[in-house]
Amino acid sequence: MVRTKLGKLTSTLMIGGVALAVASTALAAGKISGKTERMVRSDYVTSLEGKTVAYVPISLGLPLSDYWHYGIQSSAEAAGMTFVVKDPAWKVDAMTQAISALISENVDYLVVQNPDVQVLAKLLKKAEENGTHVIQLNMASNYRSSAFVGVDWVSHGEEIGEDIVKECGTGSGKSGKVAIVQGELTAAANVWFNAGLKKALGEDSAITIVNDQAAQWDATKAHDITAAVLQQNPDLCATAGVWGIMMLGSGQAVKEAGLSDQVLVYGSGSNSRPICDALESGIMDKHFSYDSILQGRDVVNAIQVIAQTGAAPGEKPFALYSPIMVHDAKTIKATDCYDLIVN
Amino acid sequence: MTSIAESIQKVRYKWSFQRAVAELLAKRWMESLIPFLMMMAVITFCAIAIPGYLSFSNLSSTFSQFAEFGFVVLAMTLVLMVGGIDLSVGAMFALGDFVALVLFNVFEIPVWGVIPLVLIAGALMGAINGVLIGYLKLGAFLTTLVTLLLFRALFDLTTPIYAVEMATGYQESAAWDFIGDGTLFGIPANIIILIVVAIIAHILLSRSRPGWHVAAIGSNRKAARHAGIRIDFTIFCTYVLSGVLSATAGLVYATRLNSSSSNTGDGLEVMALTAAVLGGVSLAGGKGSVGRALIGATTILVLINGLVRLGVTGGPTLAMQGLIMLIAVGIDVKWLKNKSKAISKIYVVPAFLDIGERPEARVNSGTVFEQNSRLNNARAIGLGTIDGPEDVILDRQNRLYAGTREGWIVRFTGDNHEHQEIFARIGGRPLGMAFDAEDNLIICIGGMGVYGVRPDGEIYKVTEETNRTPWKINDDSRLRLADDLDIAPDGKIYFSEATIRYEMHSWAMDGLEGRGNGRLVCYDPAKNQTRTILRDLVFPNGVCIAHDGQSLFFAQTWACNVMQYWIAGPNKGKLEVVIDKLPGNPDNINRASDGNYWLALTGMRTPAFDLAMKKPGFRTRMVKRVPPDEWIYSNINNGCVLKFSGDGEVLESYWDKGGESHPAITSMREHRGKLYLGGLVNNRIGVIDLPDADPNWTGPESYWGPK
Repeated sequence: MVRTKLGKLTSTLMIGGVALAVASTALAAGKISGKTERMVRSDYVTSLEGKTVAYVPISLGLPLSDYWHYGIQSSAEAAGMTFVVKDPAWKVDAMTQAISALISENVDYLVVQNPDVQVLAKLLKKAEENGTHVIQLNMASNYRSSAFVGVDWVSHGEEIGEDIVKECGTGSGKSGKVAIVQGELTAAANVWFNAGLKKALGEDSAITIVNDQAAQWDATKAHDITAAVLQQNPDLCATAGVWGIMMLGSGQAVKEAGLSDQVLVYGSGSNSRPICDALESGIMDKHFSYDSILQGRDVVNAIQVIAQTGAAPGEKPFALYSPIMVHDAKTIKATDCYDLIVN
Repeated sequence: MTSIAESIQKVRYKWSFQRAVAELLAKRWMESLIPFLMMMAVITFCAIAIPGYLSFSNLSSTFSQFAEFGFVVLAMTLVLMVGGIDLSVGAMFALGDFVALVLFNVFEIPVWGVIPLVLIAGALMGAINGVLIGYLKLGAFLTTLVTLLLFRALFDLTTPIYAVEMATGYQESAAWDFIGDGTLFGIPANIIILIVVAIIAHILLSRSRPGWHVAAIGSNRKAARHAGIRIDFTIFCTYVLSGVLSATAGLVYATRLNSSSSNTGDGLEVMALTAAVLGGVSLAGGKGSVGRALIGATTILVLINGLVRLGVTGGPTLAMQGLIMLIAVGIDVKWLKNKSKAISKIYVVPAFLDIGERPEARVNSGTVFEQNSRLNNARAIGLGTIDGPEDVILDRQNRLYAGTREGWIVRFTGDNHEHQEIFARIGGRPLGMAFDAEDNLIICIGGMGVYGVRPDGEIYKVTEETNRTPWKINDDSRLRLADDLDIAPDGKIYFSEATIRYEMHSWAMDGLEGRGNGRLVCYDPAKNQTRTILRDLVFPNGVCIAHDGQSLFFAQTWACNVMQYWIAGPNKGKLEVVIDKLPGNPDNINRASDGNYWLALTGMRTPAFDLAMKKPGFRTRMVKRVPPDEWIYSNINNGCVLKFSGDGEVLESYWDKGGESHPAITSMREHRGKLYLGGLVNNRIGVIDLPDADPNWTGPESYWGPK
């Protein structure tokens, strides 16, 4: 089991290490002696000791959820928490079972990635009623829990939409035809991403959405959908979808059709090695990335806030939105991506 | 001359652990034993591996996820039992879930409207399978595989239309929430619904005509058709029910999770199949029950839940599921199919039986049993047209009655009984007969009990069960092999049940045991009550009330003796041996006109078999190692008629020397100076003249006086 981390992570940890070193030297020197500061520190140290955080993604074995896994686990254990992970392997039943079990085990913090907006809503509500703080990670549900950590999907979609308008819209001299590949129709990320995307695309009358189908997060389905779209619309300008790994299938279809130079392939998601490879080889043109390992740390930061402010579960919901980085074939560097992590 | 060794053997073989095991194995619920133990093992495993697993709150929350799977397994069980398979349950489940959510979240139809509509949708989908498989006779596997794809495609096509509305729309409804995650006394509401449905399904399957039809078709479709069961309609109905149950599962899922996604119900059919087979529902059809389905469903659910909670990841969970499916199929093949073989290997449990010295019956031996030719010239009645008249009897009008192997009571009329007619069709195997005071013919029917036929031919049931012996594993309340009967002056019917361990077709195997498996039972018409009065008799056979009505005689076939039991007077309750060490195996006993009694010997003893009866170990080895057609059996091929007096003296014997026409005699009846002979496997009734007998004496008059 090798844990490989690259530039960004190393530097993050180094900064953290330096900060810690500075803090401890300062402590040793006895410089920090103010009453208020001591209380804050003791809160910080004790509020998470012996607490348990459970992480339940839709499935492990993907760059996205594995980076989260790494990010949450390393930060949580550093803060003195016990870390638990359950892998439902894409099975909603297994996921609800795992969460039910975690609720009856009274874990302190539950980190969940929702497969859709409804399926876990009741359970998460029950969890918070039962005293467990729920942090919804990247994909939210209809229930508003203690915290949300992840992408602001609407503006994320808008950003990509605006970029497409710039590339394909009025004055670009291109057909203006866009194909959207949806993920799971009822997943929060998908719903809001597409809302933002379509809003932005709707701003320009030159843009037409020629196809809008769901591939259910499956690259193979995305490939098949895109291949069919390209046959009907050989003059397609762009295809966009909410998840980069899924869009690799679309990119492959574009490449097979020999239209890589003409059709722009947009994706979004974590900056994993396959995405950099795809950008370099031209399978994908633009990727709107967010740093999933840092999202993992954001989760633990949210937990820190909840623990230290002492809010009851769901009492004061808040969100931590993740910054977006745009990568394209021209600007991509090997260090922009994380290698795959085997936890 | 009982030696110490024989005494030890006698004690050693009196009680048998093996018999208990064999009888336990023969219980129907034993088929679920291994599945049940597996379920317990899985639960125990989880209880040990997961802290707090057995707490009420945890069980309650774990099992609230059980309901929908339970319904789907029930659906699968139902079609498996009728000999089919339904691979479309997962797709119907998904559509049921989808329809429920669209109706509730998008069209905002109240719960009481949603429920029937979803069930109708399920019924319609099931009806498609039902018509294709039941009426058009397409193969179940391929048909449901195709409908699985069709329903899935329909689901995939319609989902995008409503997906977002479905996910964002919501209707406040207490009833909906209650079904989904309400509890009653701490028990999840959906589990209560499942339990109610399961109880109804159980009663339907095990206690109702349609349920028996399902099992009959699953066991043997051809035989079911011959029995007049509407096969196509019954099969159609099971698939409709399967659709309804799957849609119910979808509805329950919808209320619990409010979610429908592309992989809802994916692979559910394989899981349901695994659970059903694991619970002991046979893939070959016919065998299964609601209880087994739920045992299998619980095992699978607890196992998968346990693995998820232990943090085992997706791949290994799937592999485990596959492994369990293999084990389940293994159980299906090895346990269910070979169980009866295992039972037959250990079911026969020989005991020690010393019949005593064997009197000589050879020609010129000078004994009362000496072979003679007195039956050689017996005139045949119904030659070749009657099959196996075990007992014969004559009424006041000189008409002759006999039971046959077809389950009929045949009547012969005319001066020489030349006219043959079927008097009654009862079924079973008619054995001993007697007339009561109202001239009703009371008959012991092997396999059914005691029945009566009125003079006009109307059949009625007298009794078919007695009180159960509390300490016996075999349920002995049903009468398996009522053998012979007689009626006391007070109208009480005394009858023997030869054995409670074997059926009519394997009665001779009871002889290999030589154990007290039979009993004497009394039916009291005044109280309409049947009670066992004597137990542990060694194949009690003929029963005859003594001329004075104070006692009765009965023969113990394998013990080769005749017992007398007082039913009235000062000796009431006394039981003693009147004749022992008979040279053969006694069968029916009837009154003779001269105040004595007739006794049929169905076969003669042989030295080899007598010795074998004293060697239970030898017979045990024989039963286990040698095929049945080569076992040593009691000789039931050659016998005679004896006459004995009330105090136990054998007076004379009647033989058909050479055994041409009446080799084995199971019954004889004296009537107006003639003796009529019956035999269990004979093709005729014999009659001889009794020159010294009272030419006016008849049985009915002897019992009930002139009329």
